[in-house]
Amino acid sequence: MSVVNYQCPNCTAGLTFDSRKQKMVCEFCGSSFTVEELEKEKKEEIRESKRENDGHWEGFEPEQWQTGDMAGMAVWNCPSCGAEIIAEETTGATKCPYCDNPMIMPEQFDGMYLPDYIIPFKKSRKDALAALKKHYMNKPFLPKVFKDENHLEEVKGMYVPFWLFDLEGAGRFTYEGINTRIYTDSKYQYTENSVFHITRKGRMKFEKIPVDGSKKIDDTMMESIEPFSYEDLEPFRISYLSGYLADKYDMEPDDLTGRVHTRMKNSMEETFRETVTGYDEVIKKHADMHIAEKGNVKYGLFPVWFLNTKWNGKHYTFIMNGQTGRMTGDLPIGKELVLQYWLKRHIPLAFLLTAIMVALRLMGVM
Amino acid sequence: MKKRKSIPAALLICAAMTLPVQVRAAGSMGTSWVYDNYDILTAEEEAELNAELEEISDTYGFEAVILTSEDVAGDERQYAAKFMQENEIGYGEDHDGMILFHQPDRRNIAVVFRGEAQYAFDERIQDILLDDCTEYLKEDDPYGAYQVTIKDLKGGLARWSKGKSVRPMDVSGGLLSYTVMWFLISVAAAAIPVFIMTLYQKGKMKTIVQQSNADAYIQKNGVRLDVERDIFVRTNTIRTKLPEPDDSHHSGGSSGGFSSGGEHFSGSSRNY
Repeated sequence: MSVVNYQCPNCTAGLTFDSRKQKMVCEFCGSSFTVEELEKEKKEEIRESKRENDGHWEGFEPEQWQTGDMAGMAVWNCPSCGAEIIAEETTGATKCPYCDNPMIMPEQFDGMYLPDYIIPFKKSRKDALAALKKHYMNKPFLPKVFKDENHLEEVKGMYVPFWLFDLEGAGRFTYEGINTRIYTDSKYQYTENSVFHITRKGRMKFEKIPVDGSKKIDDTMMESIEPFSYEDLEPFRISYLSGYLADKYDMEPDDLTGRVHTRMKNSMEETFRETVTGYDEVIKKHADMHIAEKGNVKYGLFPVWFLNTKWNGKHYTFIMNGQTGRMTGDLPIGKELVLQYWLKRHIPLAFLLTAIMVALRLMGVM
Repeated sequence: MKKRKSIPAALLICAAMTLPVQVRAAGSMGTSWVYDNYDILTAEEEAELNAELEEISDTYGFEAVILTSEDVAGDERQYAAKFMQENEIGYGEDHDGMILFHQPDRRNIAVVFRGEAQYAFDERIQDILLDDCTEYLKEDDPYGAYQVTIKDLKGGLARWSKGKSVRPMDVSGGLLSYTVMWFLISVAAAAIPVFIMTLYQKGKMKTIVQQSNADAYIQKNGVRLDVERDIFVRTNTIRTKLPEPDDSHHSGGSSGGFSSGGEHFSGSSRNY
């Protein structure tokens, strides 16, 4: 399989995509180039490489592919140092572990795997580390030892494959609305309930509901860093991947529509419920929702920073939206810290309340 | 000269005879402070109560009596006030005194204050006296009820005799028991906000949450309402009888100032 990396035209060192400058930058000589300039040059290089290697699989050893150990794996050669790298077969971009040069596997993004869109990284590795530090702040239950001994095992910027669903939902809802009026005369209290039958029917259009298309990445984790802003959505260019990891999808859109339906239905219920106003009480009687029109489904790569750490034998993963900087990740809870927190507040508050009541008593108020 | 000197002396003697015989009007029945007409107390109990009430009189210059009786017609407070007037119960010019009037058959207890004491032992204090008293009466322990009333009265008199106002804590329990009670209540009450704060802090530790909806991806102007129909169906009315108005904040009782025989009193009564 052919592997490409973007080399600096001036000094041939590896180029990486700089999220701040939004350009391809050479870390060795400092030169920078726009994506368009490099794309043009790269196309020429790939055409030449294919002509030379047509029909020939570099590094391919049939015996290894047939063994169970290599199931799901693929082998590539680093174009900079020639090292053989074994990675998951869904890997679309990575870094050579020997020479640290970025590697992009263009075949992984060919044909049906060609992404429609990409949101380039806006946040750098430094931003990710700063966000993690901020994530630890103001957490009284976080063991200090975790913060102090927090050696990150891995920090990786990765383009995660997402399916983006356009669809239109239709719904019909019926409710019972009640208005209550209370009045009294000299002997009785009257509670008057006016009951209404309410119907709402309509449609809602959704644009690009994202669901991650990778089996190995947890969907809940990806949802927790939403939303992505589509203002930065760009047509896919392979050069954006340079310097980052990337995976192609391994889940088809049909496998993911269940989750899309759930989110669509929840939105429809809430939106139509909000149109029922002017009642003291509203009770939902019936809801019927379905997808009226299946729009397009597009394939995009979205930027995510993964920070993995290990503490007390447990793995902790923190993720940051590579575009907006939103950071999430579950933190360990120190039980003794919870107890301390409780006692530091409960006891003084109890004494304070007692002191107030005794003071009122001495003043003759109570 | 002798004749002239003897006339003023005689006049003086005559004038002295019209003065009240003694400052403490103990009444025509002698020095008894307990009038157990219902015969609810034993001789020993009556003697004990008498001794305590006598002590109050000697110590504080205040006359307190206990009266038990079968049912009387009319307002029990009026009856008690009249009893005090007829038996000249009340110390000094202001007739400072108290009567605890118990009607066991009717299960009614009343406390009436006379003189300046009625302003020191106001309705709030009277409520506390009756609260403590009825606790024992409900247990059919009238002696205990009278004892606790005497104890509470002494607490208030100890403060009043120093020219200070009588506070609720003076007649009930004391500061220590009040503090302990409120500390226990405060421990329970403080647990609620601290629990909420702890839950909030714990929630900050778990940030990986699923999105519940797709609101962020609704197309602009992408909501179309085709049917919006609200139809009136019916009205139903529930009628509830209002409770009867009650004069007293306690069941079957009354409280406040009142007049009897041209004199102002203050008292409270309660059924138990």
